[in-house]
Amino acid sequence: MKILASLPLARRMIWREKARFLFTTGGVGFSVVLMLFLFEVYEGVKKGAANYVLHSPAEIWVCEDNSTNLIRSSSFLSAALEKEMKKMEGLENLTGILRLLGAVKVKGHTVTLLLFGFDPKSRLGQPSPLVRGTATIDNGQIIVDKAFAAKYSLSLGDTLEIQGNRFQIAGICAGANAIVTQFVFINLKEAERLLKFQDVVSFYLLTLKKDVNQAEFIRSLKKAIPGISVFSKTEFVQNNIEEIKTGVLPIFWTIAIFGGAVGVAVITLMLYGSILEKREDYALLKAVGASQKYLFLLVTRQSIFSSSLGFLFGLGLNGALTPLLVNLVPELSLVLTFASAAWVFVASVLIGTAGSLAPVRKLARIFPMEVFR
Amino acid sequence: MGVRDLPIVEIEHLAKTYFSNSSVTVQAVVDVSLEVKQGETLLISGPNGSGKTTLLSMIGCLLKPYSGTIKICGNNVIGLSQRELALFRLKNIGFIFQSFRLLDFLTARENVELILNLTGMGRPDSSEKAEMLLDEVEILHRADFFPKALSGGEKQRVAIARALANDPRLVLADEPTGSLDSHAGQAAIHLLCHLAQKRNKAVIIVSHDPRIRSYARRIIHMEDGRIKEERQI
Repeated sequence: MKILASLPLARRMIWREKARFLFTTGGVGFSVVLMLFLFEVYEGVKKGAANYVLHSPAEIWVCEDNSTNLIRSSSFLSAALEKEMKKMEGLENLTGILRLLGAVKVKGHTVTLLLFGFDPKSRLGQPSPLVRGTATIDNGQIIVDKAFAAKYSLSLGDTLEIQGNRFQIAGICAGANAIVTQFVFINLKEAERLLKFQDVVSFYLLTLKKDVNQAEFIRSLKKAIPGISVFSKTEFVQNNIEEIKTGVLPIFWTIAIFGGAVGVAVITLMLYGSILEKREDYALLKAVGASQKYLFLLVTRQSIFSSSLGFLFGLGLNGALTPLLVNLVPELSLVLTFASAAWVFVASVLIGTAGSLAPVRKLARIFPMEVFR
Repeated sequence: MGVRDLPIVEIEHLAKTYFSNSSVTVQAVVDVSLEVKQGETLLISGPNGSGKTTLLSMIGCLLKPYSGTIKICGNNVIGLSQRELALFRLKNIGFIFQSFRLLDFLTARENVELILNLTGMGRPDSSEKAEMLLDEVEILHRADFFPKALSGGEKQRVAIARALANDPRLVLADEPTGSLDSHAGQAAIHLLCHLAQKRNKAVIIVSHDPRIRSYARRIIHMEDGRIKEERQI
């Protein structure tokens, strides 16, 4: 209560050195932008990795044993399994999709994409949501992600080349962008032709009849058909996200920690300089009886106040930069969540706290007698 | 013993020696003993380097002596920790400096309020008391001005109000007229001594200024860290 009712000393000390304060806030703001950007990319990658599964009406995903996800695992299943699965009690519908890595030639560039072959007659494997065109594609037609289309300025009717075959863009979808790669969709039969194997799929997508217990169905399916992995939609989404997490999180954490360290360095330098310049003021405060604790809190408050305003500045700057970045790099899928912003705010407060450590040590070495200088 | 005879400062055989790396020692204060009673104004004079400010710093609990004892308001302050010393200064000692030492980012009122806040008095009580003190030093009309907008004399008045804010029993002034012209200096010292007398404070002033002699009840003259002469007026 004593502190709340007293003079806002920390804020006044910051305001009197406006240039120093602006540099500090700006420095922290830029490290906040970096951290927010990483969070946004991470959320975007997560969303991109899970979107296709999330938007499919399929409730159950079946793949080869030991295969767990769409993005980074190999899965080949015999088309003959379809007959066996159809015998299962409680099954409503199923379809197979074939996934392969494809080198796509587009406007003089060769790009490696995840190529999905699906049966246009079934809704289960269709890309969704569709932005333009149709999902009911014929041979020689292809559906591309809107980020991919934007990057290469593609529109409906344009053509791509895969293994010497030309495909005309018949649809443009959203949510098939995992940043590191995009998904494109062709007819299942054509995918088989490109793979040069018949009667093979990568995944089976299943829906169940009403009132069928999903867990029980999965257990029965695994028992009936050995050598397969069966996942509920929720599990399969999670598997895809985990796959992305293990790939990108260590890198993102490393960069974020470096960003935070830069923020700490900026605050430390600025505050340290401020204490050296104004050491006589601090000596006076010590002389008249301000306790070490009071002075430490005074410095820490200045630091946290600067870093918190740095966060707000960074948040604003990030808001302004995001549309520009997405425009410049269409495959960037940036998603800012409240949780991400909250984490970065917590990081900013920690930056402020850590940034005050060295200045506080300097402050402890100022003698009150210096007031007589 | 009457109230006015109550010793506020009791010093015995006080010494301060500075040691440097090259094993050169400087004896800043040598075997000083003195006593200052409540309501008494003591002037310490002497040439530069005679140990006046070092002595004042030790009395103000800002500097630890090499040897000897210091009692302020009956408390032996030698053994106190830094934390205890800070609290002790806050409760018992007011400071006035040659260069005023007002915080430039606070107004005159806030410079006084700061001490009150440190003692635990919150706003708006601290604002009211600060105004009362500024009124006493006849600077209330400049209460909302920042130090840079005040003249030297006005700054020293604010510093006097600040020194008295925590109602200390001892006021220490280091060359309080050193940065003022003769008129402002005279006015500041008159005000300080008048208020101290009125409030029965013990005042120790370190100064070269001969005009201050007329306000002191006792004068000690220091040279080479020792008291060379002591005069009762």
